Amino acid sequence: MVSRAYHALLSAFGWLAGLIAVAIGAGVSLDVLLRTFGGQGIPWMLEASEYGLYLMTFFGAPWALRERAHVSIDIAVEAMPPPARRVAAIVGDALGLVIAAVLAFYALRIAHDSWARGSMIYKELVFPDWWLAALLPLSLALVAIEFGRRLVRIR
Amino acid sequence: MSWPLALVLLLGSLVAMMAIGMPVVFAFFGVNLLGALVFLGGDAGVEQLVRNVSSSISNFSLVPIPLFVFMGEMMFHSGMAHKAIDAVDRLIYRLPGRLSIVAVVGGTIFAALSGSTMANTAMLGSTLLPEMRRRGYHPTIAMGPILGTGGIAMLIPPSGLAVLLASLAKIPIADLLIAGIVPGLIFAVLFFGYIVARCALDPSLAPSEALAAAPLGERLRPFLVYVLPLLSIFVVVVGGILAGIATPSESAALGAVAAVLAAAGYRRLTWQGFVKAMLETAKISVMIFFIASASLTFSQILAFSGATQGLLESLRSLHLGPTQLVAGMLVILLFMGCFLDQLSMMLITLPFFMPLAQLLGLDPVWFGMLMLLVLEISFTTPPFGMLLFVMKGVATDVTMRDIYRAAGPFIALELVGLVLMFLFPPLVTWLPGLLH
Repeated sequence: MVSRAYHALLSAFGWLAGLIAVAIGAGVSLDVLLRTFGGQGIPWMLEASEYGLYLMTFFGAPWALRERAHVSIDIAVEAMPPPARRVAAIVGDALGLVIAAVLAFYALRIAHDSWARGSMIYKELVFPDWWLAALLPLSLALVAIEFGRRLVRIR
Repeated sequence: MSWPLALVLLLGSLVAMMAIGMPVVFAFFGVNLLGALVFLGGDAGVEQLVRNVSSSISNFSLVPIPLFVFMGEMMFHSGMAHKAIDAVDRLIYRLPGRLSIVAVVGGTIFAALSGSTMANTAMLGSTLLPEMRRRGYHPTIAMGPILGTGGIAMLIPPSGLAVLLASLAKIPIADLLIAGIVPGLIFAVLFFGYIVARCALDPSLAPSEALAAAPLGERLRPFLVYVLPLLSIFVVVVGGILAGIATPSESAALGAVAAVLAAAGYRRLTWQGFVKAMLETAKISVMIFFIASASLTFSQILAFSGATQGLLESLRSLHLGPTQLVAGMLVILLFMGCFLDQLSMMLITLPFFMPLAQLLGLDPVWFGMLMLLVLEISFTTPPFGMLLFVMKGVATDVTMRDIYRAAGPFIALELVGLVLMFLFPPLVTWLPGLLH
């Protein structure tokens, strides 16, 4: 049950990443067309697409890890005998887990501080900074969980 | 800590983490974490590292990357690319090594519509390779042109990797994109000449086929219907940049929309094809941007540890000329390309190469293009060229050794092209010069 919900969440985040990429293309095109033919573009489109790149990346990161889409270099690993390969996999996934967890902790602290201080982003769009900052700890925590899942599956 | 020790510590731990097969992005974040603790003041350093993550990638000039990838995926998954290759296939006639020539010409055209070397190679491999093998083409002359031409996608705009390189190296993005056109065409011409010459000398490499003589009009029609309209997308994207009307980001957005409209126009726009293109785009883009999000901290750490400055000073004390230093940098990059992926190569070398290039007073567009050419070549250099594995994926019964051997002559041709561009900079700088 928990596992199914987890996988559904990751897949939904993957879709969201794709939809954001498509939305950036559509939005920037619309801005150009309006500016060229209507005289007036969409003033917030530039910064919205910048946020979009960040949102796409971190909604997509745990999903891409599950789909094994993050590039890795397996030339040395493939030359190892199976026992060494197993050790490499354990060490690699454990390190990945620790790195993601530490980063998630710091990202959470930053997002929390920003929320507690009530920091705002003042550009064309004005909104609380933590709306963006909150994604990073969530994404990195899911990445850490994904590394943990890989770790327990190593035989 | 002395700078050589810092350099060994940072790069050593990076290589160690990569070697045990960790996704490279976590190897970079691991080193960033280590470096932040040691060189950026511990707790505050790690906080800086996390803040750098979003500022590295929240950048409007990176917008073309997902959109260029999307253009290629859309062409691929809608089947428009296959139709275009078919049309080229009908057009090319009575040439030695005909299907290999189709791969080069078709691949170069597709390179002008797609920013993804992977999609390009997979498309050429899946459409042309079975036919070539059925006709008894020698593996070298069958797979080599596909591997070589697949890489041209990252030279001829749209090219996502060119955008990333320019952004990280602080080179004007429009200039580097436009600069890729001539080198890409030179590569294509070299491949073309080599195939014709080799197959003319040894016809057994590519057995000729008895094609029914069709009138020219009939052969031309599919090209006019399936290729020419698509090339107008290229004109929109590159023309907008060249004329200075649109930024690369805006051109890319229009190109992506045009790709969807073209698919609709050919009645090839399906929900499944669109979703497939969208999800593949997300996978590749997330991978690229996640690595890019580690770039700022990585270069800061190299600078703060004194490694950047130290290495540059000791290079200066060797009193080498610019030619030797540029050649040296390219050789280092070629060597790294045998083992590393393109993104890692950029992240590791740019913090050293760009200040050095500036010190030497090099034209950044020329130098950036030479780097991009080497990155392109390293897509096919054994043992870890990524396209070699894409080829293995479409030709499952071929051994890696055969694929390596097929890539060999085309790598040599690309090196010839690289030397040409190195000796005659105007080949690279002339076209972007028109921008100003």
